[in-house]
Amino acid sequence: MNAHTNKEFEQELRTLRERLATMGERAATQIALAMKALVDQDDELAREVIANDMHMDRDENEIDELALQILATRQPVAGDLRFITMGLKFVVDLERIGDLAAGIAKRALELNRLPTLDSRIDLGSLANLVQKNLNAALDSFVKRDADRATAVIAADIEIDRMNASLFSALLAHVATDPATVTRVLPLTSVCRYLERIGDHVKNLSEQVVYMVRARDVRHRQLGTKG
Amino acid sequence: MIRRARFIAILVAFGAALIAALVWRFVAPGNAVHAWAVGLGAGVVALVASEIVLASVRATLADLAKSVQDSARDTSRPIPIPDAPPEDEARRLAEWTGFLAADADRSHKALARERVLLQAVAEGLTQGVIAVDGDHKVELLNDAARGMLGVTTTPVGEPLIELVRIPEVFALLDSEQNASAEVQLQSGHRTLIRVARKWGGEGRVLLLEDVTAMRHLERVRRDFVANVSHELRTPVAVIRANAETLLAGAMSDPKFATRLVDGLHRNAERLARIIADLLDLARLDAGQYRLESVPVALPTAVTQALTAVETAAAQREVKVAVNVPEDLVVRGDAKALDQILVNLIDNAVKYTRPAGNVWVEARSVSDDGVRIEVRDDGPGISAKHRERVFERFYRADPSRSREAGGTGLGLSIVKHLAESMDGKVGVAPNEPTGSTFWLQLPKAVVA
Repeated sequence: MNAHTNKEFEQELRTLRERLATMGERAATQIALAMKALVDQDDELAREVIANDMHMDRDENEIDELALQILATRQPVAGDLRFITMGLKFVVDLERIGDLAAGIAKRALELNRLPTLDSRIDLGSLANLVQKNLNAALDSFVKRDADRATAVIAADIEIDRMNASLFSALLAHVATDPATVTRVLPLTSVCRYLERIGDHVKNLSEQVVYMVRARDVRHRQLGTKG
Repeated sequence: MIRRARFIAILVAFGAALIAALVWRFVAPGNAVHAWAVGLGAGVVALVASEIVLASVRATLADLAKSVQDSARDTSRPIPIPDAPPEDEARRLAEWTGFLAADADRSHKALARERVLLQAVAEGLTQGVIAVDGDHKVELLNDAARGMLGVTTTPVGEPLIELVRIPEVFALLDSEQNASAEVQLQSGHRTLIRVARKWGGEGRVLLLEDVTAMRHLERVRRDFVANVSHELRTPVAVIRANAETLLAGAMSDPKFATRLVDGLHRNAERLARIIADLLDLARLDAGQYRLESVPVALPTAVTQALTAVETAAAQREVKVAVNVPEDLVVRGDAKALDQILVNLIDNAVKYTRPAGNVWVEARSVSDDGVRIEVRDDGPGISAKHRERVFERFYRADPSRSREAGGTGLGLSIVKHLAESMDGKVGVAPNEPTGSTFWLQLPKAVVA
């Protein structure tokens, strides 16, 4: 961050950075707890995750307001302007991640009312990878590490691959035992939610690259000029 | 300073030369050359004299400067006092500089001691301590805080947000003293965070306390109180109802009376079992349960335990397969081992599917350990219940386990007994279905 002569401005930027990072942490915790509720068949925890989504929504409103206030009162330029515009997009992706985590918790509640599937579908590996990527994207944001963010963008392919393979396994389950369809459907939703979270994490990482290097890497083949 | 003194000395010499020339002119008028020569001579003498004085002052100051420099590098080195009368300026300067240096040395050592003490206190605490300045940069982060937050470095001067992103931590940094929040970390640990105090203007000290175990114990205690009242009340209610019915005239109907008395007997037995188990647990808790530590042949212990469960197995048509090497000998108490094995095998027989399978297997796992596994192919226990089945009166499926006749205390007793014999006990899912209860005991050294 540039050295500012205005201490208040510096403090506002610091607060914005902290609010974005802590909202990211909240999103990561929501995913972890939603997956725990699913694996442990814990209704109480699932309901807690759904209720906590309210905090994510409140974070979005407050961060939006803070970013707009800085834009209006400080008229930032260059790196600061990029950081604030990035923050406005960052917060949208984080809020969507929160919604998807709440979605996993809702599916967990549905699944808890049904008998468990006999075979073990390994959703844990996909969830772990998604959480690992989200934490790496947040690390890259707070440390302004564009290389790390680029690595997260590249890792999204693995999430897509795992999602596709899990989806096929679930479909095969229905094909062999059609009676399991009511149990498989919520699980396919959870897979899709995790994959969508992966896409939002990729967006976050692209915004970090833009903030640090002033290069737009969205919708481009990796390796081409940003 | 010396340069300025020299400049003044030149001016003084010039003045002396001028005055000497004017005085000579006045004393011997008419001889201008002599006057100027005398003036020049006086000027040179004044210059040489001032240069000698300056050199002496410079040498004294240089010595003092070197001593101060040495003392700054090594605060234990004293500043030497020049051998001069007490009123000498250089001596007084050296004395006062020495006094200041000694004072600075004392303060320096006191500060270093304080820092070491603070570090030792902070590192010794089981609570996590985070101190940040007004810009939320880390001033101190102790070992416990690093452990709780998964931080591996000691990042003094770094922004806290680069290490910790817990929303409540940052909300508390802007709040008043004694504010607190309890958070669940991604690791699943519950942590109580409290703003201990403000310091240095906007700086804050945060205290972190892992309350996972405390919250767990609170829940266990709450559940225990609820469960124990329920478990005791149910048979008492049946006994009371049956007795009332008998007194109200049912005794005259021998067939009905027999059924009621049978109910009385069964529930009295159940109460007696619960009370016996509770007393066993109380004795184990108090350390009054004396256990032996002798070699016990495992195959014999398993065979003996099986005789206690064979009727129940036959009733449910459950097949029990045993695979225990003949030479396995564990170290422990034969009676306690029998109680553990009967409990685990009996549970497996009760909770596997009808006409299901139970496997009792044992093997050496290390030079000094034996692992005994009791597996079944029943519906299994979900992860949520698995971690709590060893709690008193905890039931994964209350209606089913009461129907099976358990007191809800068996596994708690098993856990206590195993731990009293320096062993461990646990449960894991069995593949593809069912549960595996395992017991690990020390291997006996056979002479």
